[in-house]
Amino acid sequence: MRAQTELPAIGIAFLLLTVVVVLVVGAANTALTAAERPAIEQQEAAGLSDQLVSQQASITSRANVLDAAELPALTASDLRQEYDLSPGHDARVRLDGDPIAVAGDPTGGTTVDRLVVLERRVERTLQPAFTNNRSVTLPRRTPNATLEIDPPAGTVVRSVRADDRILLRNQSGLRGEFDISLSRYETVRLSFETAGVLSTGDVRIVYYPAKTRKATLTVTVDA
Amino acid sequence: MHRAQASVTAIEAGIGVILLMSLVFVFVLGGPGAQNPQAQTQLDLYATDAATLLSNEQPRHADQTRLAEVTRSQAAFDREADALERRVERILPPNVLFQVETASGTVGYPLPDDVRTGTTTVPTTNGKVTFTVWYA
Repeated sequence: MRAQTELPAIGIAFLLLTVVVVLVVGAANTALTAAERPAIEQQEAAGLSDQLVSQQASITSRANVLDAAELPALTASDLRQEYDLSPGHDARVRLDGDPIAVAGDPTGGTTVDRLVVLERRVERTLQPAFTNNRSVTLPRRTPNATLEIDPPAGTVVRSVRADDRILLRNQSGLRGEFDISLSRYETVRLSFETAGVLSTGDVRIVYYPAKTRKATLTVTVDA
Repeated sequence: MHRAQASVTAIEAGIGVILLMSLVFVFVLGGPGAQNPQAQTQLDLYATDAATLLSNEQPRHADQTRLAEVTRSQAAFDREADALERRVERILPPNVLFQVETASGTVGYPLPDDVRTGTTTVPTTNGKVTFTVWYA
């Protein structure tokens, strides 16, 4: 007697195997696509946050230093165009938990935290006394300053120097309000070359030092 | 008299189904491997951010930046090491520990053996500085 299979048995066996193969391929495909999404979101979040804190970004004044004046101007279209957010993805940018900009509607997604420093400029006024000499050192670094020079009747201010660099010069006398730009990396010593005496109140210097505090920039991307 | 005989085809089909089901379970349960790649990226970003903030900071006394000042000489390192440690501690979030390695010495916490770390190395004018961070 030979072992012999029967046609219906083969048919059922093939059917069973085909169904199982289809199920397996479907499950594998679903698993792979589900595993890909978080990786894509994470890469996008890391890349977007890199661009937001880089030196070239419009919201930063240096790498990882955010400018408090520029930060509120960040909009969703900035995120899409300047910072290269992909068209199909949504993103939210928060600073210490407060939302700054939202592009689309991110629900869930992957989050990345960046350590930054928030810098804002404050205004300080200085009226030097000129007791011993005609120069004054600004106590803080500032990228620019506004000078108001109002000397008394017999005094002529001929020039203003910043650390030996001549900023303003007028042989017949400087008088009025002047905007000067200074080095932001060093504190500066302003010297006034005058004919005559200077006292308190003749020169008023308004300068803009920076105040910083540390903060966390949170970027969430939903693919 | 007929003896019942197991159909060989059914047995073969059964074995095929078992093999395929094992493949399905590999995909469904997930293979072993990177359990949390997001933690690795986040740690690397913490290290990079700390290094960037310190390398662009004004020095306390001399030299171009705080990091360059610390690495300038052994004496400078001994003097500035505490300040550097406090500064890095303030920059990083509270649940993150760190270690900063320079040619003149190391500041921070001792590095545990089996923990996931993020690391970055920055060149300064006086040598390389390596930042290593990990979750507490």
